[in-house]
Amino acid sequence: MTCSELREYLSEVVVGGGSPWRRLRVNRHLRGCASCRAEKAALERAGRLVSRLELESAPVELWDSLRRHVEASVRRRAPRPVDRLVLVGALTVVLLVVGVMFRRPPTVVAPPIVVHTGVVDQDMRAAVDGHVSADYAAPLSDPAAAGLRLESEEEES
Amino acid sequence: MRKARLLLLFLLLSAAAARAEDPAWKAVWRSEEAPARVSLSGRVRTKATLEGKPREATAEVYVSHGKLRLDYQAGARHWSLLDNGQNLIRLQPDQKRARVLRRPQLAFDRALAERNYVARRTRTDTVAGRPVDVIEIAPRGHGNPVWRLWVDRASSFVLKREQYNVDGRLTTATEYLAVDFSARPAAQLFETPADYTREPEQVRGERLGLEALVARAGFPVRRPRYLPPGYVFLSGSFRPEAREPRAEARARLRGSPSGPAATLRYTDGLRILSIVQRPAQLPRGNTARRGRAPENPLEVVDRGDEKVLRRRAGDRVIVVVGDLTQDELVRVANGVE
Repeated sequence: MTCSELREYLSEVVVGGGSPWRRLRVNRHLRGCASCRAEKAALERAGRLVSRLELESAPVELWDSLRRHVEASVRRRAPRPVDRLVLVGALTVVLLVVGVMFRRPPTVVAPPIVVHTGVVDQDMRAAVDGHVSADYAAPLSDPAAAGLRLESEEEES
Repeated sequence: MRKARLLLLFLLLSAAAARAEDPAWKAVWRSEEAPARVSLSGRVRTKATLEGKPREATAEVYVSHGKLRLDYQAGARHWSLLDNGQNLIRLQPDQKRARVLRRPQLAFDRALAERNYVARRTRTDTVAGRPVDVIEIAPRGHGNPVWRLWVDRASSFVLKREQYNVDGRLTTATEYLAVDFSARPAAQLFETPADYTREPEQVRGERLGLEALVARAGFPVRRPRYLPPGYVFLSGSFRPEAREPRAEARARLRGSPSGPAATLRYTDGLRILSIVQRPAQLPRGNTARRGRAPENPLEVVDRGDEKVLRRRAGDRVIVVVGDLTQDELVRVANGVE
């Protein structure tokens, strides 16, 4: 630690502040540096003198004045809720307009439809056979036509 | 006191009138139960449009108290369909082979159908020489699909029926050319002939409630965020592996693995909407080899009675089957995320 670094932290260390690590470094420097030790002694002496002074109460008007000043400053800085809503609404509108202007066409493309003239394989055949069989049991089914269909399908497959 | 009694009587009569069944719907439900009450033999002509191709056949029909047999002929081809209440059995006489399919047991809510559709008696007619009432069932409001039933006045048995799909196209039509309600078909007509090879029941998956299905599947089963108006959950089913391992391996190489798959079925009372989900396991390079667009397109097939839509959504493949417009199918499929 250099002397200039030490003087930056010295006043803090003299009143008992700073991290343990910083206090250790300051004390190590003070052991080998007479000028910084003198600086520290001067600071301690000034502190003792100040602590001997008597305290005086501040006038009430001063506190009122300070409070008004702080409140006015806070009101100036904080935006009103209405202003916030307007801001958010405006931003949303801008984003929507930009989104619409630069939107891309949907990337999901419906798969093409291939129309076959008949059942194409055993996978489809199995599904159809099960359906036709269940259909036979449905109300209003035509048993004579069902027998014709079953035979025709057997012939086709 | 007398006035109070009259008022009470009026209120009771009003309540009874409000609860009375719609006569047209009553006739529809009676016609649904008629095959369990009657026995007959007859001859029908039936037509169906399948994937844009019209199909037609005639068939000898035998009905006996809930059991049904149809012996079809279309050109030189013959085959039969037996419905014994538990199973649907397809008899192929040229190969002496009987293919058994468990008849689905699904509980449809008649009140739901009545909420979503209107039934009305439109006129009288004659089918196979018998007087019938024509009943039309259409969605509340306007539009399709539409069913038309020609209901025998004496037995409530349906002697002619037409079904129009959501796009207004006639998809199936069946009409009795002749019918004999005094016939007593022999019991053995409804059994598999002894000299036929009976193939084991095809895998259709176990039937489960929604929560059980989600727990059973082993992968997250997602419910659709969008359903067409009027549809409610009907049943769920889970299919572990649909094919024997070698066939499954070949199918995977072709890019069409089949299982495991979870199916959710919904209904509006008359129509069914099926949503099948399975983990996506397409092999690497599959899309290039199959020449499909790499961005996983929606695949659509219009089969007439129903449309099929398949899409890949992340880690799963979704197949939606139902008689809906293409836009509605896409909306349902896109809602399963």
